[in-house]
Amino acid sequence: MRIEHAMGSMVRSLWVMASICLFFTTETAAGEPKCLFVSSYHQGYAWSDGVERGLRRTLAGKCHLRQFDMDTKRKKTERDKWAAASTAKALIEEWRPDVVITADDNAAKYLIEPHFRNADLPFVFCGVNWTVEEYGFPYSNVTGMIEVAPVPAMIDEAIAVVSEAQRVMYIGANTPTERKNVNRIRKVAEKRGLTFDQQLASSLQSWIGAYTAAQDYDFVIMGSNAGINDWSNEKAIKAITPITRRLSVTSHGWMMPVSMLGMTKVPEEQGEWAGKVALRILGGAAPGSIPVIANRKWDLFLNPTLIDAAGVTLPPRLTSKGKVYR
Amino acid sequence: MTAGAKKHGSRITTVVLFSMLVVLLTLVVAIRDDIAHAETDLAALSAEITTTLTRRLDGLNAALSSLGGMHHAMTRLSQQEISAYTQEIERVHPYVDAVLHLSLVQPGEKAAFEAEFRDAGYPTFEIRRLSATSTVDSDPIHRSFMALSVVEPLDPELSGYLGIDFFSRGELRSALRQTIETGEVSAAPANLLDHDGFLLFKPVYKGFFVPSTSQERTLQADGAYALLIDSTAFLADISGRRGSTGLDFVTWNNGEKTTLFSRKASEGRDTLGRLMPDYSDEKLITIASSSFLLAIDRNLGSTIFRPSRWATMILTVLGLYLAGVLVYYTRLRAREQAHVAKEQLFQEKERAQVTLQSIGEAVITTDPNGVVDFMNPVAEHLTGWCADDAAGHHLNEIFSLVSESDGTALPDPIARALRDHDESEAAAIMVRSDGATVAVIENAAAIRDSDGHFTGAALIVRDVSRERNLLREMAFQATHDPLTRLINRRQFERELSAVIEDALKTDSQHALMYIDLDQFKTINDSCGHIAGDQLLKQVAGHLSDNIRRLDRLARLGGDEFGVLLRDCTIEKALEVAEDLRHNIKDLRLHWEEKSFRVSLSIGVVAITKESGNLDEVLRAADAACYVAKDQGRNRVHFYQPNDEMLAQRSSDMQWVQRLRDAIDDNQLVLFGQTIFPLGHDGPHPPMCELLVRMMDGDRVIPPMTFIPAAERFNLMFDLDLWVIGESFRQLGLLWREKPQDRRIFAINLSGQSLDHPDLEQAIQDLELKYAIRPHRICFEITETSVIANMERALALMDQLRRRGFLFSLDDFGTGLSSFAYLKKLPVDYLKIDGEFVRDILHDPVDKAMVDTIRRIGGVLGMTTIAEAIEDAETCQLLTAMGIDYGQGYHLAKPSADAFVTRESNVVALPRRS
Repeated sequence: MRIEHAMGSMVRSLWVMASICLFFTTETAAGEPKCLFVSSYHQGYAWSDGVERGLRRTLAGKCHLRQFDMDTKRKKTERDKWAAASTAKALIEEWRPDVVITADDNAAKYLIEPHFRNADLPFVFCGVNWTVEEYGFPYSNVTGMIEVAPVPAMIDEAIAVVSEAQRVMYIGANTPTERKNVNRIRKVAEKRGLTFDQQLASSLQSWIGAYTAAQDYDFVIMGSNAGINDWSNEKAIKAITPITRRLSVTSHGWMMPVSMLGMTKVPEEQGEWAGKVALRILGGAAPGSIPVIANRKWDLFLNPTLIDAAGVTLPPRLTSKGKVYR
Repeated sequence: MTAGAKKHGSRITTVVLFSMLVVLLTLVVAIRDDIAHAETDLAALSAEITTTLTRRLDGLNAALSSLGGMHHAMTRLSQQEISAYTQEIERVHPYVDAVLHLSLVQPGEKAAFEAEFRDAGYPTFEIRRLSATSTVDSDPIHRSFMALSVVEPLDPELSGYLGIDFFSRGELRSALRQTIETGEVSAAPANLLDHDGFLLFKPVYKGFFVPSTSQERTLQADGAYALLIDSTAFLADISGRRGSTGLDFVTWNNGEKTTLFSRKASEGRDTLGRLMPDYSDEKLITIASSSFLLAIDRNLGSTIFRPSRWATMILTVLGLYLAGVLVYYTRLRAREQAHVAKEQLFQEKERAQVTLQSIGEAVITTDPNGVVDFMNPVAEHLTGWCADDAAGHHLNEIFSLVSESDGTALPDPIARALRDHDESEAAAIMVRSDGATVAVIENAAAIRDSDGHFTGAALIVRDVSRERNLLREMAFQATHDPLTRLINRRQFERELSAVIEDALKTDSQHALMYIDLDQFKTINDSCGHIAGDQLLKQVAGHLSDNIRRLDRLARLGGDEFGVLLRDCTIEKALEVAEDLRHNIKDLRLHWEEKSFRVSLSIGVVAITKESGNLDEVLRAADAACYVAKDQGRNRVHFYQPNDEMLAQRSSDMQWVQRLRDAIDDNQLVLFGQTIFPLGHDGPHPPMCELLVRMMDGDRVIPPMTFIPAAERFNLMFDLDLWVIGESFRQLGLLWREKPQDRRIFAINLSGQSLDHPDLEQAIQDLELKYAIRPHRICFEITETSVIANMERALALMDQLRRRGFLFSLDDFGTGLSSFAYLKKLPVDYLKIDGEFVRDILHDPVDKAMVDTIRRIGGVLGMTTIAEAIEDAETCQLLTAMGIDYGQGYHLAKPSADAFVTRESNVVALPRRS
């Protein structure tokens, strides 16, 4: 364990140094505004990749975009998170961007709130789940888009499919984000008279256990698996397909392999909005003049394989409308 | 420049000016057409814009209606559904910037409404006024809010308007109230949202159906959907077309006019554009029950002009014009040429008509059958037919032609013309239809057409009566004396020759009389030629009346007549001659109150076979007549061979030849006889009269020997001219050697010379040739010679006196003149005839005459000269009488040394008493 720990510390130090070197060796085009994108997670994480796509598509050719990934999905300790935030702060002070775009909660929590509250440097956040109250947003230099899931619509649709539904199970990764989501979804479910239970797993096995337990409920709400480090879609699918009997719904697109019905958020919407706001700020608008809003897009997906395996019957309104997940 | 060139130049100028006018008019038409085209285009554009906008507004209305319908059909239209629908609207209507959902929030619901939004991810959401200047928090009537709750697609700019209460601004509130109350679309400007465009509202109500009444709709209102229209995009493909177009888009909300957007036509028009009128149009667009007014304003500008089209039009029209001009002028030229040709033809015809009318020949044209179709006036006069009457009649009815020689009928001239190959001429006698005859020469010619076919004939008839008469007259004049109408000498000699020939052949006897009119010269000289001519005519008439009809009377020249008595013995001839001489006594010539008697001197000669030839007969007759005259005139002398009296006559004629030879051979000499001034105190220089003598070897022949012959045979002018020339030659030498010689030299001029037209010029030429001093030359003339041709003599004297020559009137007192003539004659000297001087000592009449002459001469300023002074007493008397000069054998005889200056030129003469 010590050796592994020492090796892990060394690898992390090398990665941070390489990131800094890469950052400083990158030149900015003369006169082009500088935009720094600080992602809470890492490239390869589906949500983050979607956000980045939307951002880059919006800012392409309009500002010199640089990205710094805090990688807090995989480096979960507080120390790692603060270290990543410190690195980001150092980068900001060194590179002096005109605007900083952040994605997801950890950047808001570890970078903006502690270091740049009401500072001169404008920040545009996105992907912050449900509310910004815990970070005290908005600041005078901060605006952005909150990530909300179409939970009411999703629950209403499940209730519509499952007649006389009374009990619902929420399963997801045992992460702060998921815990935040659970609280928000619980309120919605309970507002509709449902009995709401939750199981947040830290491993695939425990997640499969939770999924198995959820088959006793009227339907299952599939939270994000982000944070389950041993996650494997193949294993998960293989494990749940035989046992699935209940309708499962999710608002995360990347959870569709293991869900029957998805009303999935669009991560690109977050990046696009953050990019538009950043450009407006670069155009002279004060961040405070742009209200903090929530995302409004989601899409409807069906997983026919899983639906067929479970023998669940969906109404034509959904089958004819939903996109087939493949 | 010719009139044709001027006309041509004028036409070119006209064409150029009209071309410019055509170009100008075409340009004006093209401009007007462009403007009309532009207006039509703009009208079409206006209609197109209206149609397009109507269609777009209909589309937008449909989109809003669909959105509202979905809203009504579903319990609640989620934001996700609105977003999805917005995507489709934006795709179909790219000028839609955003779809807005306005939620009607009652005051009591405001907090919950805001909390719901904040809970859904809008932490700062609140219903608020559009701006700080907004006056109300909620609708004053409904006490509600019309909060912007959804904007799709949402962008950071529009996100700031989330929660805005649209009732907080009057324009928006008015539009929303109207759309709620009517259930139909309404509009408001979007500038309140800092947006260049307008908003289209469509209400939604509670329940599934739109309430039917306005009141119900107001009560059940749940909100509204709105489309935010970007006017630039809305009009991008409309207003910018074909230049700048101004647009005003207006609507009415609750009766209030609201301008949704206004776009002025861009300025910056060019100069030409500013001159162009503006185009404006208004179109009313009705969408459901809502009305929109589209006002279109457009400046035509210069871009409407299509210069290339102008050029095409101008070139086309100009080309057509020039083609027309070319055709016109080609036709005009053809017309003019035809007119000119016609005019030329007319003129040719007129000329022919005038020619035919005016020519002296008669012109008659006929058809091929000889029927007359034209006659000119001469033909009318010649034939006695009027042209109109003659037309249609055959030529034979008008006249016929007969031979001039034998009177036989001549062939038809038209047939002759055909026979003689078109043209023939013949002399003939025209026998008119009235029987009159006219000598003519007719010329007939066939008239043929271009193919050579005989189409008629032209007959030209010339009246040659006058020519015939003239020929006769000429023949008469050639053989007759025009004054007396008797045959002349030539004819007389011709007939005489015939008679002599006859005498020779037939031994017949005839006689010839040579008659000379006595004193005719005196009458002719004193009364003039007219009187002389009158006398000759009377004598001719008298002689004609007194000879036989078979005798031939002729005027042989001057006052000489000849009578040829055919088959007449000499006795009978002498008897006739005596009768003639005797009877002429009764003949009187009355002339200017004077009466002259006439006598005849007649020479008669018999013509027999021994008479000789013509010349011999004539010479014999002339000689006989001369003898008769020489014997005292008024007698008849019968010529006989060996007649002594004829010898002298023959001698005169010989002297004529000698004189000619002497003049030609310079065998004449000049003698001078001095004329002395009578008295020593007189102013008169000595004079010398130059006298001509003929030399016969050493013998000097006196002038009286040859002068009569010279006078008779008209040699006096030649003789005088020789004297003048020789005198001048020698005087020129004398005066060059002896310039002090003061003598005045007198030269005699005969009557023949005075009458000769070349005398004056000859004297002038000789004067210049020998440098003669005219005032030392005095020409002596006789009063008889002057009076015989007074006018010519006076003119000659006047011209020569002007040159300085002097004149002396010789033999004054012996002629028929009177003193009255002296006043007319410009002479310097009066030479008193010797007849008065010779007996002056014994005849008191002569003395008185001389004295009278002296006195008259003195009064007239003339110097008197007495000639024929043959003794001293006479000289003394004359000197005493005051005569200025004296000449005579007593004083000096003529001598050959006239041009020698001698002392003897001045002699001692008795002084005047």
